[in-house]
Amino acid sequence: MEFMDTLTTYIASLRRQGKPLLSPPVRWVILSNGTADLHDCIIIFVFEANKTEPALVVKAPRLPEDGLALQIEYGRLVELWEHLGPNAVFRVPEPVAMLTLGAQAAFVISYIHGESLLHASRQKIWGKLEKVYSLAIDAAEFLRDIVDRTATQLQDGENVPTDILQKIEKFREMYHFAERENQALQGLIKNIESMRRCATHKTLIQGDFWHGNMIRNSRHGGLMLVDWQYSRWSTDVSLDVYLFLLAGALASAPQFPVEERARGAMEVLLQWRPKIIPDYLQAFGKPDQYTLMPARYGMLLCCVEKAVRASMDLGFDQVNDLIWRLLFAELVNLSDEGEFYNEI
Amino acid sequence: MESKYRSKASFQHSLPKSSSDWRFLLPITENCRMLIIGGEQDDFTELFNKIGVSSVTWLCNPSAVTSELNENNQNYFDIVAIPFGFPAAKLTDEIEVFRKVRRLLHPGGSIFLGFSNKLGLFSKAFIANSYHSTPHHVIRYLRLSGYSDIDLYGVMSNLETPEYIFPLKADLLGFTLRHRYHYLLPARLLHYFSSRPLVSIVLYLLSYYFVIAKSNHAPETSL
Repeated sequence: MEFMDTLTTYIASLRRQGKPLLSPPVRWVILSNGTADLHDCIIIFVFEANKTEPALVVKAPRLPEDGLALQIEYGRLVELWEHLGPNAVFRVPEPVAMLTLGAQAAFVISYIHGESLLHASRQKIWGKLEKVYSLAIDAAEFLRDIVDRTATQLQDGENVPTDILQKIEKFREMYHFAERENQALQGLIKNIESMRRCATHKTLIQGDFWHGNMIRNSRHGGLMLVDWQYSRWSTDVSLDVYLFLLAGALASAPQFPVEERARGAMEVLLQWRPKIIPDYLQAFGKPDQYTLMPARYGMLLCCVEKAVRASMDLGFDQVNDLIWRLLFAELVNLSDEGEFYNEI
Repeated sequence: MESKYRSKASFQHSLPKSSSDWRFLLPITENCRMLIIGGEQDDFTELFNKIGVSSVTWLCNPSAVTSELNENNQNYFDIVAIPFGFPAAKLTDEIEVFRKVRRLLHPGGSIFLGFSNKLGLFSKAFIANSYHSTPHHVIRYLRLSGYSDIDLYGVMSNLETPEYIFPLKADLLGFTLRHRYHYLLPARLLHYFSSRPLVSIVLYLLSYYFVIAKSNHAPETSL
């Protein structure tokens, strides 16, 4: 029996409160996106009888070695649902099942009806400051709600594991740095260490909080967040908070060549600096249980994380990683640095 | 990409240029013996080895099928995959090629074939020299060549790196069109294009299809 038959047979057998989850026959569409990375998942939309919109989504890794990441994502989503309670359905997809069919892992989640901001934002948001502002405030409030709801008090002596220092080391291995950039990395390390001592709680960060992972739900109009494979418990939320801004700035900038894109993103950030960035940070608010780094270090942290992620997780670099190294340089080499980072 | 910023270049470019997600449609097991025809050898052998299939044979094109057909491997393979079709086979050759492939398959083994549609709405998208036919003809010739349990799948937008693969049902094509063109077409136009009466016609006017069929013959004893 082929994988698709095995999968649909299994899904047809799923029950909730004694009733079949989906009415048979169960049908499917594969979103293969054949130009995607070999380490990416294929997406399978699952339909129940007589429905023209999917009920479920299945993520299946192309390679067995990537099944573990899905397992982690499933575990995190289950934890998230427990913490969010009745609000979960308005925030994130429901983790329905984690399957291993033969050697093939498959992660089943609920389908979110709505519009992904990855495509929609190109025409409708970036380049229109009032739209960017509105999305930024929405995203900040959404993120704050999630991290607050998952905040959990640290036990005596509890040490939340983090690999950020290894990531910074990897970043140093991968690229050449000027003196000023090395100093910035030293400053980042000091900031991370001092922040770790301030937190009383850990919280579940998404790890990839950018518009490409957001869907505007067509039924209730709110934002929903997908792709939780990089989520983890952390005492610091800077990665999520600042990544949204940096990814948005990169999306707003000219896409080629890569050096121009980084420079363009920096110009966008400068354009957003007077109102959008401070209001976004204010909408998120100052946390008191967990930590949020100043923008100077939080933004650098995002660049490091994104620049080394593929290299550390997959064992090789991806073309798009370079943009984060270039953006790191732009952020460090700002001519009016003091003014940009003042009070944020 | 080289950069003054990078210590050493170690990029790995994404999926092989010939995507292999069609494997999810096939009954592939660890012990199965696969023959893949077309594409690049390196695209497939490493991938299928990674997913646990150790017996993968690759042929560069269908003309090599005859040479592959010998006493050692008739009725040998569980799956023969021709994901990108034949290079411009003539219709009179089709049945012969299908029959030769059938001899390579053990009884109950599967042939997997990608092909472009002569009646496709976007004929310019055809792969150069690719085998093209129509869903109707391919099904007919497979039956004449001794296959059964024939399943047809729509493929968008090309065979080499498909974006969408779906069983040939109007509702599924309707969803695929809405999903694919949501950001490109006005909502009202898209609603019209993906309406059931229209997609029921378009279903057989797609540019590309995959087809899977089972060999229903008794084991061959002679060539």
